[in-house]
Order: sequence, then structure tokens, then C-alpha cells
Amino acid sequence: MNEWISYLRFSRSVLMWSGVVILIVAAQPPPAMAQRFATGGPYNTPAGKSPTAELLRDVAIEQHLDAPLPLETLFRDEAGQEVRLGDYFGEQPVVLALVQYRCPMLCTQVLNGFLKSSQAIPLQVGRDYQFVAVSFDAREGPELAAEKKKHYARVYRRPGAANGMHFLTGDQAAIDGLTRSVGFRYQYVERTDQFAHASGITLATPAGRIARYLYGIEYSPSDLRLGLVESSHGRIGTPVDQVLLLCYHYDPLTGKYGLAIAGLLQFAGLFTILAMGGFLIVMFRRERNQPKLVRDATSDTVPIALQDNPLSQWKQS
Amino acid sequence: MTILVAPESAATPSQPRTQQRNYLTDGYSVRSWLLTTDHKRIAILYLLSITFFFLLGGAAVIVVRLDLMTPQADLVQSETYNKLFTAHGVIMVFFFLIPSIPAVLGNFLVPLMVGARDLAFPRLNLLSWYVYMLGELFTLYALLAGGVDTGWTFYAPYSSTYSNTYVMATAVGIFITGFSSILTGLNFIVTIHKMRAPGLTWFRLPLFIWALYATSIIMVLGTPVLAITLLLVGMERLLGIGIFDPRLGGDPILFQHLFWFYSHPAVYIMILPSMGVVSEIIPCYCRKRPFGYAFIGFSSVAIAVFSFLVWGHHLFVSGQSIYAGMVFSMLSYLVAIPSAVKVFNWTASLHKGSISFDTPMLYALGFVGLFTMGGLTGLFVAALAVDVHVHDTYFIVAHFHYIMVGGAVMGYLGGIHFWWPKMTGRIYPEGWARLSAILIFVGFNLTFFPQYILGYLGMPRRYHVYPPEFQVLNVMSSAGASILGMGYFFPLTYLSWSLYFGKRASPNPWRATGLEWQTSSPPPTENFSETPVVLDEAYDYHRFDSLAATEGGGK
Repeated sequence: MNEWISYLRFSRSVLMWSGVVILIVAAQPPPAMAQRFATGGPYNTPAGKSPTAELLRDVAIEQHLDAPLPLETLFRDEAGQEVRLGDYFGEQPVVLALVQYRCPMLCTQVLNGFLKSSQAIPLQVGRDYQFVAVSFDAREGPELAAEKKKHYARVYRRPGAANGMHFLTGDQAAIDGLTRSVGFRYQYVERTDQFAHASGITLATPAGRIARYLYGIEYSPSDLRLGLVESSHGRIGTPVDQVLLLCYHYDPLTGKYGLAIAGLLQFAGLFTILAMGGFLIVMFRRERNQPKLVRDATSDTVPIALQDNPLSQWKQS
Repeated sequence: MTILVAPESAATPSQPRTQQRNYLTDGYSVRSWLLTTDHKRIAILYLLSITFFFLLGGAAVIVVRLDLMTPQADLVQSETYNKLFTAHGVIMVFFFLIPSIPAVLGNFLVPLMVGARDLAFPRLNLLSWYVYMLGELFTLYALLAGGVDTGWTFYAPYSSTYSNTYVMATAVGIFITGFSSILTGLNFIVTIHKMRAPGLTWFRLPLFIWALYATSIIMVLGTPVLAITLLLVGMERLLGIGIFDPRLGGDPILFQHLFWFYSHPAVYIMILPSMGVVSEIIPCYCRKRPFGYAFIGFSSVAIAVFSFLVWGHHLFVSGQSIYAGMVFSMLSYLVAIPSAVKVFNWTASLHKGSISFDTPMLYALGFVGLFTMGGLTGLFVAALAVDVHVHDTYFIVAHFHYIMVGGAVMGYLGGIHFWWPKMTGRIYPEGWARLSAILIFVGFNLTFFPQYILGYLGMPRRYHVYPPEFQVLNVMSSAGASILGMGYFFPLTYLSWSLYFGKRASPNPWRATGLEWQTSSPPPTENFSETPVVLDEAYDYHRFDSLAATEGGGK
């Protein structure tokens, strides 16, 4: 008897503890999996793995949606002239790219990515919007900028690039002011004489407020087009674009136009289920009141006129 | 169910049946058929159209099976092969299986079984047939103009961006046909709620009605999602709006989610009515009340509910999150519960029954066996790890053919035979019918069982060139398909023959309970001259048989 009780106690504690262990294990997803399926900003790099990891943690694009850009800041244009950043604002939305002209890798990709998308949309640089690239390397000067402009104006292959594309340079104070307001965080790496930085472009309204961030080095043409239309507050684009904007919503998490269609579907689905469920509930409630017909116990079990019933038909055949 | 029948109607069966007025003799003009609102005539219209499509879909797969006899691509080119299996899938799923039992047997039997004169919305019912035919025309156009090569699943971005075939015409066809099933579902729901005969409570209803009620809910809730999905594919193809194409900012997985949100429940649109048919046939040929009536009825509802929660098991290898995969895997296992409840209850109904192996019963028993195999292999593929191995192989092909052909089509044929005397007033030749039922069972297993092995060994679906070591199994499968084809050809022939030369049927040749057997065969246009009153539980075979014995004659 005693053995039985101790056995039961033992198995109970085993069960309990294994339950606790299972719960703890289940609560912590395996690290590899968690990383693979984590959502969030594309620049959440895994920290603490390599010497550069510390550094990369401080490199990001932090969204400052609707924040004003420092329009009074002075830069130099490709001709070496002193210009206000605000000179490019006022009429049209602006695509702002923070790059380093000498950058061996990412910045060229950013510029090329923009160029590719800009060629795929009906909106034109110069006519519909302005493109402003600003170098975040204070050591770069107007000569480099002029070289870049010449190249990109040529490959854009549409008129208007000359007065719509601008490649600016500036001193450290101007660069700091601009990058801070955009939320563009970068680091200089002495070892390689390169900048660690994130990539993406920023769309700003004609009044100089940040409207959209597009991440990465490839920008979907529809994201760019709709972003520009929205940034311009309806001043450019066709009525179709306006209709499209109703179905597309900018998703700040990924910097892409996700689908409000998904939301619409959820709403419509919920409505359908509620409508149908409500109908069924009403129907079932009404039917409750119907009398249940049962055979009278006193009467014989034979139904009326059995011999005329089709049942008897079968029996005769 | 026993019925109170007024003396007026009782006079009719005793007259010579040739002179008896029924729904078939109520007008002979083309107009009287094409503009009919009689649910029974609409059922016949559906029967003719889906039979035509069954033959068309069958013809496509004959070429597929012939081509698969050899490992090389020697009969058709790859593009043609793609178009053939797509045509087979699209036609069989959307134009044959989904309308098969609901639109033919359901249309014919729902009002008869609930003791009504017609469906709740007779004109809507006729409209549903015209809508179906319009969709059919679009799809036929697409097939004749050059076909579609996307597979019946229309996966984006293949269907939305890359395919240069007639995707839009087919999609429009399926889109339109969807409305026909919504209308049918709506009609059934309202009819079952509002038009039941006095005394016919929910728990006195035939189980076929329970099954069709569950099916109708799936149709009304699920089909709009398919329509939305195809509309979005159209928007992307025609207007270039990025919905599924990643280059336009879309998401191809979204397509798979939307598509399977309908198309998985669609499998239950096919199988649930078949289960209903089997639940009618088995009690009649065992002369017993089915074991666990309420369990069978509620398991239909449970299947309908679960069917909407399992679509993600089609996306295990599509990049869906592993946690979503785990949840969907578990939910898919849940569907096994109501399905198993049904199978066990049918088997238990056989216990101590006086079983006779007539044709409908052969089909019903075939259904139980094949559905069980298809369902159990469904559990294989609902397991995450196993699915990685067998995904997109012939294992999947075999699995869903066991459900959709071994299950749904067996049930459909069983139902057609069971109610053939009621629909046409003629008895089919029993010997031929039994032979063809056995041929279909043997041919089916020979066709699809080797495909389980092929798939498990790694032969991918949708390829017509394969390693030579797979040839033996493929030849077996093609040989089985030829037997299966013969099996399908027989009923077509002898059922047509019986229309003219078959023995005339009495109102209740199988001595079955159920209101549909309490009117003449074929029924008059108004079904019942007097609204029947129901006083008894469904499937009261015990009382029925004892009554027949005491009242003289009887078996």
C-alpha cells in the first residue's frame, strides 16, 4: 500500500516536472528558427556575432515620417554653386537619396535601383518630381558629383534629367543635420576606410516633409509611383493612381505598399459570416416554436389508408 | 417515416402508368425544358451537362495516361501535356465534381425529401443552370482556342504573369460557374429551413439533407473567395496591378492562401454530398436504422466547419511560417475525427443488418473502403515532415483521387443508381450494373494504388518524362485506367438503354423509407398531391418491414 502511494507521488511529480520542462522549452523557440521567421525591419542584423556586429547595430534607417527636412541647410551642387536644400522643393515631390559617390558597393546599387524604377514609371524626373542625391562623405566635392550626374542623366534616357537630377555635396555639419532629420544612421569604419550604412531612398512632399521610405536597393516601380503620387498630395498622377491608392496602403514596417485588400477581405469575410450566422440563428430560433408531431399512442400504428399507400403497391407486385 | 396520404392521390398509382401524368410527360417542347422551373427537370438538365463534361474531362486524361505508358515524351509535346492535365483538372473539379451530387441529385431530391413541391426559389434554380452553362461556354472557348497550361490550381505568378495561354477565359468561366453553386447553396439552405413538411423536424430529416445543408453552407461561404481570387488574377494580368507578382510589390503566397481557402473546402463540397448518399443507401440495404444518426448528421456540420480551418496544409513547402504549418497540421488532423465517426457509424450500421449486395450498396461499400484509404493517406500528407517528402508527387495525386473519384464519384454513381427508378421510372439491368460497379472498383484501385508507390518513390506530378524504372507502375496505372474507363462506359450505355427498354419501376422498388419514395415514379410535377405529414423518425426500417409483413405479401 505504502509502495503504491509513493509510486503515485513519484509519478505525479515526474509528470508535473516534465510538464514544466515542456512548457519552458515550448516557450522558447529555437534561435535559428526565431531568426528565420522573425518579422520587422529589414536591418535588424544579428548582433553580437562578429566584430562588425556592434557597429551594425547603430546603422539603420529610423523612420521619421512627416518630419520636416532642414530646408535652409546649404550644400554645393555639381557646378560648385552654393545652394539651399529648399531650392529643390516647393512645386514637386522630391526623391532623396543619401549616398557616397565613391562608395564601392551599396550606393551605386541604390542609385541604379532608383534609375531602373524611375524608367519604369510614367512620371518623369524634372517634369513631375525632383531627384536629389546627397553625399554623406564630407570629403567628396562637386567634381565627383558632376561625374555622377553626367552618367545618370545620360542613362536615364529621358528629357528633363539635367534640371531634375541633382547631386549635392556638403560639409560635415550640413550632412549631420540632414541625416539626423531623415533618421539615416551610418558609421565610418576606419579599418576599411568605408562607411557602414543602410540603403534606401526617401520620398518627401513639396513642402519638405518626409512622406515615405523605400528600403533596399530595388524599388518596385508601383511603390515609387504611388509613393510619389501620395507625396505630391494628388498634384501628379492620374485618377487611376488615386483609385489605386485606396487599395494600397503604405506599410512602414517593410517600406512597401502592402495590400489593404487583405484588410478589405477580412472585413468582407467577417461581414459574410455574421450575415449568414445571423440568418441561421434567426431561422433556428423560429423553428423552435414548431409543434412536434408524434404518433398517437392510442391509435393503431397503421397509417391512414395503408392499402392505398404506395407501400401496398409494392406488396402486390 | 410514415406518411398520411389522402385518398385522392392514392387513386393514381392503380391506373396504368403509361397514362400517368408525371414531370417528364408534362410538356415535350424544347421550351418546356429550357424555361422550366421544376426542380426535377433542372436536375435532368444538370445531369446532361455534367455528363458531357465528365466525358470531356475523361477524354483529356485518356491521352495523359496513354502518354505516360512510356518514359519518353512520344505521344504529345510538353505544352500539350500541360494543357491536357489542366483541362482534366479544371473540368473535373469545377464542372463535374462540384455540381455533380448537389446540382443533380440535390436538385431532384431536396424538395422530395422534405415534402415540398419545389425549391424555395424555383427561378433562381433555373438561373443557376444558365449561369453554369455560361461559365461552361467560356471554358469551352478557352479549351478550343488553345487551352490553359497552368494546372487547375492557377498558381501565381505563373497564371498571372508568365502563362501565354487562355488563362483569363478559363478564369472567367470558373468565376461565373461559382455563382451557380452559390445560388444552388442558397436555395438549399432556405428550402431546408422553410419548406419541410409538417412534423419533419431536424432529427427526422434524411442524412442526405444534413449533408447537403452542410455543403450549402460551404458553397455560400467559400465560393465568393474563389471569385475574388480569380478577379485579382484578372486585375494583375490585365491592369498590371501588383497583387501576386513580387516584381509589382505583390505576394505569390497570398494567391495560394486565397485559392486554397476556397479549394480545400471545395473538396468537402464534393465529398459531403457523397457521404449523404452513402448514409441513405446503407440503411436501405441493411434494413436498419443507421447507427448513431445524430453523430452522422453532426459530423457533416463539423466537417463543414473544420474545412475552413485547414487550407494552410497546402502551403507547407511554400514558405509559410513553420508555426502556421504546425497549427494547420494539427487542424487537418482534426478533420479526421468527424470523417472517422462517419466511417465507423456506417460500418456499425452493417452489424446485424440483413445486407443485400445490390448495385447501390456495392458503390456505397466501395465508397467506404476507398474513402478510408484516401482519408488515411490524407493524414500522411497532413504531417509536416512527410509532406516535404511527398509534396507535389504522385502520392498526392493518388490521395486526392481516392477522395474525389473513389469517394465522390462512387457516391455519385451509387446515388444515380439508387434514385434512377425515381428519376426516370425505369429499372436498370441489375447484372450489368453490378458488373460495372465491380469493374470500377477494380479499375480504380489498379489505376491509383500504383501512384501511391510512384509518388513515394519520388515521381513528381505534372511531368510526362520520367526515369525508366517507373515504367512498370505507370503501365499498371494506365491499364487500370482503361478498365476504369470501361466501368464508366457501361452505366452510360445501360442507363440510356433502360430509358427505353428498362422495366417500369414501382413507386418504391427498394422498399426504402423517405418521403421521395412515397410518391409515384417518376413523381408528378407537383411532387405530392397532398402535403405529407411526418410522424416517425427517419429510417424506421424495422417498423416498415414489420408493417409490410403483417399487411400481407411482403418479403
